[in-house]
This record gives sequence, C-alpha cells and structure tokens, in this order.
Amino acid sequence: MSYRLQEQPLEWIDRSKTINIEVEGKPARGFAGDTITSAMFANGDIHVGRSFKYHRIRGAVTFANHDGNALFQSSDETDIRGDVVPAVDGMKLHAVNTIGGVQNDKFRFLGLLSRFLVVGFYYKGLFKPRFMRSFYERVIRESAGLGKVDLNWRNKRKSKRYGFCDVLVIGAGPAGLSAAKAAAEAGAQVMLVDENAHIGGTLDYQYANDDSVSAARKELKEYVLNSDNIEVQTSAVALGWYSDNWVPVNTPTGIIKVRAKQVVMATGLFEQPSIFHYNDLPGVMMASAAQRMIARYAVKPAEVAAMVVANEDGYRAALDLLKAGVKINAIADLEDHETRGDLAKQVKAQGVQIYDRHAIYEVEGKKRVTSATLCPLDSNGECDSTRKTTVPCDGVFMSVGWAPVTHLLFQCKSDIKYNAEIGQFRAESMPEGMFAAGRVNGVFDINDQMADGAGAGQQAAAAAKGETADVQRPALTTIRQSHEYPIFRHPKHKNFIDFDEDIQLKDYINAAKEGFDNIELIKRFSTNGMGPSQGKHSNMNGIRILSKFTGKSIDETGTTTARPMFHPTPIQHLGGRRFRAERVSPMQQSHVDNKAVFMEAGAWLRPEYYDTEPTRLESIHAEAKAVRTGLGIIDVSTLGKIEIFGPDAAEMMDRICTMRMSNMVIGKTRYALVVDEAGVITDDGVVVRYADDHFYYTTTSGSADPAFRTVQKQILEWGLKCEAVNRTAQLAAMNLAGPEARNKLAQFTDIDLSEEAFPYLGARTGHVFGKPVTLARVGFVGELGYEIHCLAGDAAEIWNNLLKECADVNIRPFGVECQRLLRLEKGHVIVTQDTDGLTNPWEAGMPWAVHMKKDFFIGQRSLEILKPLQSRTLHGFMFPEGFKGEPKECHLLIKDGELNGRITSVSFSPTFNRWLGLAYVDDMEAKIGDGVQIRLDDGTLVEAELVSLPFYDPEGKRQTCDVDGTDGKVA
Amino acid sequence: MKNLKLEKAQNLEMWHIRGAAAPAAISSLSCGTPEMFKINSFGDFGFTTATGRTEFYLVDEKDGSVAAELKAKADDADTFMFPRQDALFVLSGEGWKEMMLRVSAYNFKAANDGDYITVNMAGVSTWFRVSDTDPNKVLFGCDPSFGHYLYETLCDVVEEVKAL
Repeated sequence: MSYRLQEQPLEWIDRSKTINIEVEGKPARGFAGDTITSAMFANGDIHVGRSFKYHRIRGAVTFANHDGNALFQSSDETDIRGDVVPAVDGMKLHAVNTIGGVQNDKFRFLGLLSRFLVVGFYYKGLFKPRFMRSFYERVIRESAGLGKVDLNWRNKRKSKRYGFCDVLVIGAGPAGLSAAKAAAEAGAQVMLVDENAHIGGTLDYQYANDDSVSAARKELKEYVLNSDNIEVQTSAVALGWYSDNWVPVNTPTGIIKVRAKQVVMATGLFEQPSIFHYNDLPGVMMASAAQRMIARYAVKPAEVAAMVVANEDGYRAALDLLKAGVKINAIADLEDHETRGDLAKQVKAQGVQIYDRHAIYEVEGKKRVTSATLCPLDSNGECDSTRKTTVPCDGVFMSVGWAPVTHLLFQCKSDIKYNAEIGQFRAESMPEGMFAAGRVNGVFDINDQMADGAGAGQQAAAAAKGETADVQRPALTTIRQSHEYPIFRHPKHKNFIDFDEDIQLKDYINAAKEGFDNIELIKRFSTNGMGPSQGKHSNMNGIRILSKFTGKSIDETGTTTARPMFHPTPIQHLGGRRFRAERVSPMQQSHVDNKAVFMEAGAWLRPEYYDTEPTRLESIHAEAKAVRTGLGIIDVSTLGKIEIFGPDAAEMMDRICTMRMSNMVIGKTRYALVVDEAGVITDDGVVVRYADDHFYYTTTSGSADPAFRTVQKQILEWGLKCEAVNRTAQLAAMNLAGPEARNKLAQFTDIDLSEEAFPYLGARTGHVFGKPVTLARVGFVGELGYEIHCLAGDAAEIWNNLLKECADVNIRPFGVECQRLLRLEKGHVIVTQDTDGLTNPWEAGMPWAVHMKKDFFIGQRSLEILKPLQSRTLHGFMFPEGFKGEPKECHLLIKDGELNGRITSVSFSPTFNRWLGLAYVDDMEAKIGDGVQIRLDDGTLVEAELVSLPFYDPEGKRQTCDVDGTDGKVA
Repeated sequence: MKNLKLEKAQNLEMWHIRGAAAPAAISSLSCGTPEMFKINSFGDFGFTTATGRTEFYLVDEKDGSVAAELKAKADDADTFMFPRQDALFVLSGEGWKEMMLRVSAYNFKAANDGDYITVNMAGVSTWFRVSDTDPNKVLFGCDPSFGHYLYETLCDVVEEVKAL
C-alpha cells in the first residue's frame, strides 16, 4: 500500500528521479530527496527497527535526527540514521540490533522479561556468583552496542577546513533566515548553517499550509540564497561551541572549523512526547514528525488518527493532517481547547471530536497502533482510568510541548533558567558575542520569530563592527507552550520516557527512590538520555519526573550537561585529512635508492640501516665493518645547527655549555655538554669557533628547537650583545668515517687534510667538489672522520659524488643503528638513551666535560651540590664470549636480590665478538673487573664484567693519528 | 578553482640578514626599507621584508642584482647574510585562498596585498608573500626539510579542491 500523497507545495522530493532501495530484503521505491524512513513509510513499511533493551518493534517518532530506533546498517557503515539520511538508489540496508531482522528478531522475547531487567539490573543481579562475572560481562557486551563495525574497514577521511565570518547563524528557520538577512543587509559576512537538507525550518512544515507566511518565506529564502554576503551550509550541524566563538560545523564533505565574530543561535525546539502506556508502538509519533512527513516527503503518516495536544501547534498539526486526508477520530487536549485560539476552532469546525482535560492513557496494537484510549484528568493531573473512551486509529500524534535546543547555549555559558510561564528553559542573558533568537528564545508567534531573528541579526552585525544596534526585540510569548507534566502512570507500565534506552516511568521513579535523586546521577544510573539521541526527546520529561519526585522546582532540579558533539559525528570527519609533518634530509632520494629502511627520529625520517644483507643484523654489521676497515658515510643532517655571533658570543657559549668555550682557538672544535638549572644533562654536541665573535654549535637531533629557544631566551635575559640563527635544516651534514676517510676526501677538497694542517678536533672551511663546506674532524664512531657541513642545496651532490668516487674502497652508507653500535664500542653516551630526566654529568662519567672554575654556566650551582651526592655511575660491561642470552636496554642489575642499576645501551659487537653495553650501577664501590648480575626477560640472572671505557681503541689512536688506507691498522 | 596550480619555485635564492648593521645595509638598497611584516617587492617574486629590528629576509632571482648589492654592503662588520635554502612554492589560481582554508587556520581572505605572513600550514611553519600585483598568485616557503612533505600534501589538497 502506498502512503505517498499528491504533490505538496514545498516538498523536498524530486518526483522525476525514482530510486530503489532494499531494507532487510524488502524493496522500497522512493524519490530523490526521500530519507530511508520516508521511503519505507511511502511503501507502507513503518517498522524501522527494534529497541535497544527489550527489542520492541519501533517506528518513526521525530523525523528530526533523533529517531534512535531507526538505525540501519549497510555493508560498510553502521548507525545510519533513517529519519534523516537520504535514500540512495541501490542502497541495501538492515536494521541494527536485531537477530533475524526487525520482524522476526529472536530477542523480541526480552520484553516478557522486562520485570527482571529493571534499571541497573546488571549492577544488582550479575555480580554473584563471582565466577560467573566474566560470563555475564561477555553476554552484556555482546548484547549491548548498536550495529557492527566492519573490521575490514578502509581508512576513509573527510577533509576539514576553516571558515571565517562576521556572523554565524545556527538554524535556518524563520528566526535564523531573518537574522542572516538582517546581518547581511548590515554589511556583515554571514554563514548560515542548518542540519536539514533545505533552509526554511518550521516555515516549510509547520507553516507549509499557512498562506499568511508565504510572502515572507519567499522573500527570506530568495534573499538568503542569492546574497553574496551569506554562505549557506545545509545538512550542516553545529557540533558545539568553544571559546572565542569557535564552532565546528559538520557537513557531508567534512567539518568546517568556523571562527565567528558573533553567533546567532536560532536553533529552535525539540518536540517532546507524552508518556502513556505503549507510547512506543509504531504509529505513535510527534505531531511535528507527521508534519515533516507530509510537507517534506509527501507521505501520509496514518489513515485514522488520535491526538494528544497541549498547545496551539497541535491544532495546526491537526489541520495539516486533515488536509492530507487523515481522519482524526479524537483529540485529547490536556487543558481546554477554548484557550488554543482560532486553530482549535477550525479543527472543531471540521467535525473533529475534542476531549478537553483528557489525556491518552494507553494505546493498543501489536505491531502498530490500532486504537487509543482517552481518559479525563483528575485534579492531580492523573488519568481517571475508570472513564475510558477508546477510539480506533492507526496513528497517534503528540503535541504536548517542546524542549529548547540549548546545547550550544549551555556550552557558551548562557544564563539558562526555566521559564514557567512559557514552560521551557530559556537563556536569561547571553555572553558577549552571542545572541539567541526565535523559539529557543521564547518567542513563538511566527511574525515575532522573524522579527526576533532580524533584531538579533542586526545586533550581531553591529557587534561584529564593535558597535551596538538599538533594536527593540519582540516580547516573549505569554502563552505556555509546553504542558508542565504530560506524563501518565499506568499499572502495566511500558510507558516510555526514553525510546532509545527503553526507560519506563517506573524505572526512573525507582531509580530516584534508590537515592539517585540528582539529575546527573539518575541519568547515569538509569541511562535516560544516554542513547543515540542523547536525551533530545527524554531529558525534559526526566527533569519533570525528578522534580515532582523530589518536590524541587525545575530550576532546582537542574539539567544534565550538554557536551559536544550535538549529533554523533563520524570518526572520519573528526579525524580529517592527516597532517603528519615529516622531515627528510636532502639526501633522502639517495637513501631510498640505497635501500634504506627508515626510522622516525622526532619528525625526521632517518635511515635505520640499509637493507643490503639477508638480515637486518647482518646489514648493520656489514656497515660497521665498512667503517672500521674502509669507509662509511652517514647522513647527520638532522643535527641541530645554531650560529651564535656578536661581541658577546664567547660569553654566551660559556654560559650555555658546561665546558669553557671562550678559550677555544679559532678553527677548533670542542665537545659541548649542556645541563639545565637542576644540573640534568639535556643535550650535547660540538662547537666550532669560526671567529672571535662567531661560533657554530651543533645539538642532538631532537634538541635543535629547544636548544635554539634556550639560546634566544638567554640572550634576551642576560642582555648579551650577540645573536643566534637556527640553521638546522638550512644546512646539511654528513660524517665520512673510516681509515680511508682522509685519503679519499683529500682528492675532492681544497682543504689541506694532513695531520699537521688539520689535526683531530680541528675545523676548516673550504670546498668539497667545489661546494662551500665546513669540515670538522670529529669522530662519534671512533674512527678517523670528517663531518662535512654544507648548504642543504649542495648536500645531495656532495653525498652522491662521495658514494660514486669512493666506490673503489667499497664505501657504504651506514644508518643510525650502526652508528649506535660503533659509538657504544667507543663508549660514547647518547643523551636521552644513556641519560634520563635526572642524570647529571658526574653520574654519566663525564666530569671531564664540566669546567666548574668558570664564573657561571647554567646548572653550575646544582652540579656543585650534586657532586658529593652522586649515587650511581655509568659503567661499561661485557658478557663473556659465547654468551647466548639476549640482554636488552632497561634490563635490571641485581645485587643480593636488590636492584643495583639498569642497562642503558647494549649490543652485540662484531668487533669484539661479544655482547657489551653501558649501565648505571648503584653500587658506588663497584670497580672495573667486578662482576654484576643482570636479570633477563625470563628472570634468569646472568653475569657480566665491568670493564673500562672505551671498549674500542682506548688510546684514541684511530681518530687522532694517521691511519693507513687499506687494513685499518694505525700507521 | 579548476585552474589552481602548485609549482616549486625555480631560480630564486633567499637570504637571512642579521646583525646590528643590517638595517642600514637594507635601507641602502634601491628597493628601500620594508616595514615590519610588509614586503618591498621587485621583479616577479623578489622582495625584502623585516621580521625583526635587526632581522630581514631577501628573496631574489638566482644571482640577482639586489642580493649582489646587499652582499657588497654586508661585507661590512655587523651584517651577516646567511643563505636560506627554504623550499619555495608558487600557488596560483582564483581559488588559492579557498584552498588555504583546508590547510591553514589563517584567514587569507583578510590578508592585504603586500603582506608578509607567517602561518602554520598542514603542520609546517611557513611564510607567505602576498602579491601586491597579482591577487591570484602567492609565493610561500618553508624549512627545506619539510619541503617534500608539504609539496606532496598540498598537491593532494589541490587535486581535491579542483575536483569540487
């Protein structure tokens, strides 16, 4: 049976485009512009899903993006909201939370057990016996949750973008449209957002048949859609409000992060249900939902209806239903229809039976409403169930009141109070930069709504310019729009407050009786408002019930917190495009060409090793062998590089580093150790002195930015006459190391590399392959080596030329892992690996790097205090040859069953053919030659021997003396 | 936005000028002293800008005359010219400001011709020279180590925007 109506004047569907969808195997034909639910209804299928807890069959309730029971699943998406998501040709869906489908859900029997599944039953009944808890937990977890996530998900992302405007208007109903127009006319740049697919709001469904607003609707829409000053975003949800009017707006193409000078919130209202027995049966819905169905989708919501109303809007809806051909058998007015104005008279004039001071007490039906029973209200507002009137119907429409959409108003800290005269919460005052307009502001007359919006728009536009607009806003309505307690007890219960979570009136009252008499506590215990619609149709009645139970006013009872996001937001929208900034050196392409396996070092990508041998370890060892016996080259461009120059540059260096730098000779380098005010090692590097007033200072890769910040800060703080430039990535660097380094490099440089002219720790400027460079004769890896520092733009050419021209000595690029191994053999410390957040130079075995006689350096006083307090020492250790275990960094040293330190670095050394490492030893009496016990992963204790450092070339001849070119022997 | 185009800028060189005498050296150039965070432009993309009391940037064509002029003056004490190796890009097309909304929190629509702007874009610190002659073209640059990432990222965004 088709429920599709004749063409409606403002309908959203495009009848020229037919679409076909399939829901649980049943075909449904609709039109472009239909939602999933409207397409189903048009085909006579009103069963959109099963409820969460009792698996009760459910229909549409709001058609306003909070039908928490109309959730669908496609092959790759879940929790698709049927009431608002457009039906797309070819869609194949099934309802979530069923086993066997909506009609034959195997869990539908759960409703029969409802007396045992009271609120909090899992807290009360499922903790005994103890051994069953994990079973219960598994069952609950499997039963809970809606929909199934596709575990073969694809990484889908929607780009985010920024948006800027003078005035952001949220809500494109009569007030919002008017606000946007007025602000634009005042010269403001406006962004207008609305979660619906089209602008118009209530003008297009509640007032769709009201000729008196036709002209205003036409004028507003035409202006808004054609104004250059207004950007319209439809299907766009303002997700929340954050400081300084930062409002993320979720659109179908991603989130717009809007920064607005002023915000007008014309967010409107949510219609609220009446609570009566079986108010969840398919066919029972909000009157506004019926109006949306008719006006937007041209779908008839029922053939024969009953209604419960408590305001004029209910009679407006009744007129719309009558016009759509729905027969209304009865209207229960909770008060007196005579007070509802002309609309009630029009309804009555059409022969509809109106029952004043009556409520709908219960409805009947199995899978759809078949009748409604009305009862008169007694003086306490309770139904007198002795005087029932039953009318047949297949639809029941509720119009008993509203709840304002105050989520963003709460978030911006508006002063929200309950206005008993109107029967709703309202912002008594707004923070600067914020305006409320329309029904959310307590203005209900349609012309007043538009005037209120226009006033807010003018005020916002003026405020955006730093001015004020003298605007007279309309008075609030004096007619109560929401019934104070549209909630009716029933001995058989099943009178639901929350359709998402299946919360019945008795559940809520029982929770209050159990002591959960605070609105936030009762929400969490009862789960009222914690389903997909987040209380949009249940919180207000929850507040009313608790208020009545406790005897407190609505204001005293309070509201729950309205946090972002306003609607559930897909992770792919929240994630946005991935911006993971990555740094690479100028030699990156060569690394790729040479089969580098990369590792992340902060934001940098560095070659961990080059995948040239069958295994990772063999590749690393082959690289190490090349450096020890021939020639290797490593890209060290990631080192921080800071130039400090000016008359006080030497003084600056003295104060920053623990070693004295002011006595350095021009053309020399010196190791630079840096500690913080607490004496903790934070960085190390090498300092080159270019001139009396010019130093070049390298830092560890991760410390470039903090080191530069420290230098900048101290220059200002100390008032020194010097400047600093961070040249970290402007320059590149590589270390050519190995016995062949001098022989080969000499062929390509104009710098005299002889030992006499360029001794160890010297620095020279000149050219390599014709490119300007600084060479520093330093060696982290313990071999004859030259660090080549050059412009980033020249680096790749120098690197590639060296690889090519040194192929005759089998030069190998080596990676970070090989460097770590080689420096470990040399006993060099890596800051942050062999130091931690407390390590000082005394503990790290680096007293030689601290010149305490200097007048001042950062951390000097702390180091003075710490020196006699030293309680651990960094030692080298070795395992015996043939040791088969696998020691790791952070393995603990144990002595007499007590902790005695920890390993900081450990590796198998191919040079020594055994495991060796560095470890902090707490035993201050420990000395070279002592054995230490180390606990491995499996708990076994193994013994290693403390040895002197460095392990490799203790006399340092390989770095400081001539090395012959072929076998690595010292000449 | 179909004509949006991102290109790596070629044949430009950049200098970072520091030192106590830098203002005097810059003011003696034929293009004059720039205001703070404003550009003094010359040629297609050449400009000077002041980013501090004694800190300036100069972009010129490779071996350009302005850089040469400054180099000659900078030989004096207290003026240091550090060559910059920034990754340089030219973004052109009518929709470039719209495209920027997808990668930067800065409202380029509020930028004025002749502005020198430093912003974070796609997670990278960048500078922008907003053209004072061609509103549909912008030169920007960043630390060279981020150049590869930024170019790849922006190319994706350009394609995304062009497809809209």
